[in-house]
Amino acid sequence: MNSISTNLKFFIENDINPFILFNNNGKILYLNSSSEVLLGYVSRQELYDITLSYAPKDFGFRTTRLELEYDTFLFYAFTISYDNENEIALHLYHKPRIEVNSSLEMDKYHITDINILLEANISLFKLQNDNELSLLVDQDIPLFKIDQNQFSKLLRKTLESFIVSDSISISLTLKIGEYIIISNKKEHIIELRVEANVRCRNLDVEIKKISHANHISTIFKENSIYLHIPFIK
Amino acid sequence: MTEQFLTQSTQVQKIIKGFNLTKSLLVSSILVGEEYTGKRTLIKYLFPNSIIVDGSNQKMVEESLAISNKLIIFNFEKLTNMENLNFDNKQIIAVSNYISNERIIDNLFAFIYKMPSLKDRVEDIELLVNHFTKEVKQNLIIDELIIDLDRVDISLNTKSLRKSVYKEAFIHNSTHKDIEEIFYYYLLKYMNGNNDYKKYLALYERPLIKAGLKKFYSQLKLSSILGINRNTLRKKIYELNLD
Repeated sequence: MNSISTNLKFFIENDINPFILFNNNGKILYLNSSSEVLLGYVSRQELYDITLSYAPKDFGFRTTRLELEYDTFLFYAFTISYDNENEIALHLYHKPRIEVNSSLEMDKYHITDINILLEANISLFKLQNDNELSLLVDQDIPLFKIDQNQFSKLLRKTLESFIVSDSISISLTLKIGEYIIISNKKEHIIELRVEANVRCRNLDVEIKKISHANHISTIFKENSIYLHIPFIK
Repeated sequence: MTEQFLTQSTQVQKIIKGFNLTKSLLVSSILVGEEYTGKRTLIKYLFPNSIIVDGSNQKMVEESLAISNKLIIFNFEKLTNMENLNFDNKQIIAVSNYISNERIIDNLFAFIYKMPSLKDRVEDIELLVNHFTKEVKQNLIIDELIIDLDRVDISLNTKSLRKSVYKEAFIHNSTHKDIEEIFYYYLLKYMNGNNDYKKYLALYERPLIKAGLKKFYSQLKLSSILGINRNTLRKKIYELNLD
């Protein structure tokens, strides 16, 4: 092989798949930008433990197909590699998400105060469930474009999933450092979290359907639903 | 005339809050509830300047949807083409007495509000009785009218409640002459048998003895008040099924 001199770090840095280089004590020597976000959801120690557990027996690399889930991050496989005693690398591969082919019908998107839609939906929800509901919203979230009707339907169905719950907490925040690509444009993400002590699952399919049609990704958990809403200005 | 909406019900206040919050947004909402619960009055009060169309005129609804982006549709349950309607980019307020097809309604509307009937918002009964009492006093030029809430019929929501108030007003303000006239026109209309003297005498005797027993408790005292033999009174009570 011809030896070439090139800066591979640039390519690794911008890889959407997380790449982390540990020393032999588990200290991080290098991490790319995607890993920085991931480390907000999983500890360094947990990733290092995985690295050691699945490392190849000898110098070289080993790829393992195993699903890993950290909050909204889903990985389908990872590679562990090392060629000396002092450094070991972990490369995680994102599980592809279902691609939405349709582009946004922008004529249906209008500048909206999401807090108003949220409040109106909470008011509707409270007609059926008068239990304690806590709401934490980032008042500084600027107005952004939403398909008001479709988004309201999505909110109604999301809240209806918690109709039997007696303790619900809703939070709305702008996610830092995470983006969604729509029509080749990088958009910030607004995260709406609804967390409770019980959740019905019979509306999950419909929630997913409306979400997909509106470029909103949905994460269903045991007793909570997260909506990642594109922040379209 | 400006519409007003009277309510103390927290449920209705939550509906009002929801509509007020979405007033400026392009969302579709439906208000569903029994007849005469005040749905139309509420919508006209909240959206005084919106165009109103009736669901029984399908063509009109379709034409209005094509030209207007803000529309109120009354009698929504009467539309037969609901499935083909497109509410994208419009503010639609529909009013319906019932949900004819849950799937279609769920699909069409972002906000589905259920208007409680009067039996589920008892706090509004007194408020509405007072409102209609005022109306009756003004219309019939009556100085005093006290309505017994236990005698108010809410089986048909505000329709029967309002009727109850007018009926009470009439009952408590009729003169001897009014009652005679009522008898006269009633008998004129229905008298047509061969034993009508006895039949229609009960119209007088029943309330007479019923009221007497309520007022004087004892049959002995009542017979003396009425100036009839107590055996005759007992016989009448039996015949009129008042025992």
